[in-house]
Amino acid sequence: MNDLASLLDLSFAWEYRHLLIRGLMVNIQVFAMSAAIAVLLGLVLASAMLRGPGWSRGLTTGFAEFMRNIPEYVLIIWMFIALPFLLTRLTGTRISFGAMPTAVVALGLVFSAYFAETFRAGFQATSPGQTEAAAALGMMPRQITGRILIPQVLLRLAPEMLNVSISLFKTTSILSLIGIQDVMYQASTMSGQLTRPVPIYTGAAIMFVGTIIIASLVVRLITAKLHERMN
Amino acid sequence: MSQPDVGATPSTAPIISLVDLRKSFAAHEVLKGISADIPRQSVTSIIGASGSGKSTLLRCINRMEVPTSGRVLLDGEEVGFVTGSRGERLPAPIRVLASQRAEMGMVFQQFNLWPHMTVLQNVMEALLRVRRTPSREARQTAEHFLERVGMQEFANRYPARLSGGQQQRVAIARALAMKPKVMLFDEATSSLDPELTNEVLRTMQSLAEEGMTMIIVTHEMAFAREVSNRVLFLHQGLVEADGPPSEIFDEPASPHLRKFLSTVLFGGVR
Repeated sequence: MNDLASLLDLSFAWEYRHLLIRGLMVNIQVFAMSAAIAVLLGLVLASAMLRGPGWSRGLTTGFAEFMRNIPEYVLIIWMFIALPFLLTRLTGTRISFGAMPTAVVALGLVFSAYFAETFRAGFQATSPGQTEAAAALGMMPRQITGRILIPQVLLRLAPEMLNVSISLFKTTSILSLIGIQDVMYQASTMSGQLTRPVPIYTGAAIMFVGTIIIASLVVRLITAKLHERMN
Repeated sequence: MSQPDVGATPSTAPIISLVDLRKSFAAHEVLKGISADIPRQSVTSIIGASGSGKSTLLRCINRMEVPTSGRVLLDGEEVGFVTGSRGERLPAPIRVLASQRAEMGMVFQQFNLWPHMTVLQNVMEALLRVRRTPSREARQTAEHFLERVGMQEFANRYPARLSGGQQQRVAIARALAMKPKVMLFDEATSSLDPELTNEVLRTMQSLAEEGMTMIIVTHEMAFAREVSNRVLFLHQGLVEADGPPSEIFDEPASPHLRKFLSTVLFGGVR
């Protein structure tokens, strides 16, 4: 019994919390940057799917399909190792990508496909009357999208966007595989040196789950306030 | 293809001319060639059974529906088309169409207020984005027109907190704030409960009395009779009868019109 208690002694993780927190900051940083790319690109993809010419619909749908089906890990490794190799051969100059930019772009691409699907459904659910009222007043398509549709879609889709964001944040846990010093990187380094895997990995798990629960609560609170006004 | 001569006598030239307007949805022809002139400061009601094409006709005027053929002239200028350098008729760029639409206010059956904006923001939005009015001035204009429809107290509410009649009055203020040349009403009271209909009809009536040019698609026969100078009766995509309300309602010549009138109930305004 005593053995088990000492195995699970979380004070050990607490003692090295600054390392885990430093790692968590890296996860949050990658999350924030790739989420920004994913949301913006997702909006572009969704508009292209709905309103673009035929070829752009096919292209964006194909892109989204590909991105939703490739494992994030495979894409990251491909972009980090295979792509620079390919480009070096093609251009004849040595090309390499930093781990952070690669991770941010790769996760941004993959999750843009999920966001695009969410936005597409959201745009379709917006009543045509909303667009018509704006068009009848002389607003341009871009203004209608930016001022009328997107704000409504974002508010209505907040719960789905939260779910996609949670998946994105969870996926940042694979970043240590290309040497990014995130929570899992710190945890595995520590557990290697200190041979106390249980409290350290438990600490890492708590950091992920805790961050997601707190962030979700904040998002839900804000959207509930906004919905209250609109409904 | 001659342009009407608007330069010489601008005050008497029609504000809107419809020239052989046709519209088909797939194989179904909804409008079968409609021509009409709408004089300035007139109130024209369009009546007819559902499916007669009256809403489609109204929506073709500001190109919410694109006519299959025919022309709509707003103040002598063709809506949706521009004249090329060799005098040819070219589809208008969206910017030109948007600025033409801004001259025509439209009020919809479902109000279509934007739920994420307050009443005041709803009315200010097009002033800011389309007219590029400075925000102070836009606010004053918006407040003025909200007062005009009796909604100034609700400026900071969100649409969901308003009754249907109140929402429709805000929608009217939103259209009026653009100072349009003509107002198009597409069954503006059809989705309102009877007790909320009158507040909207009263607002429309006071606009008519101020000399606003209005085209009204409506089921409210008593209102059409009392407020309009002219009534168009549409039947199966054609103008079956066209005349002052007294003629349309009291001495209907067309058997279709007589049949239509016998099926609609006369309700009172006020």
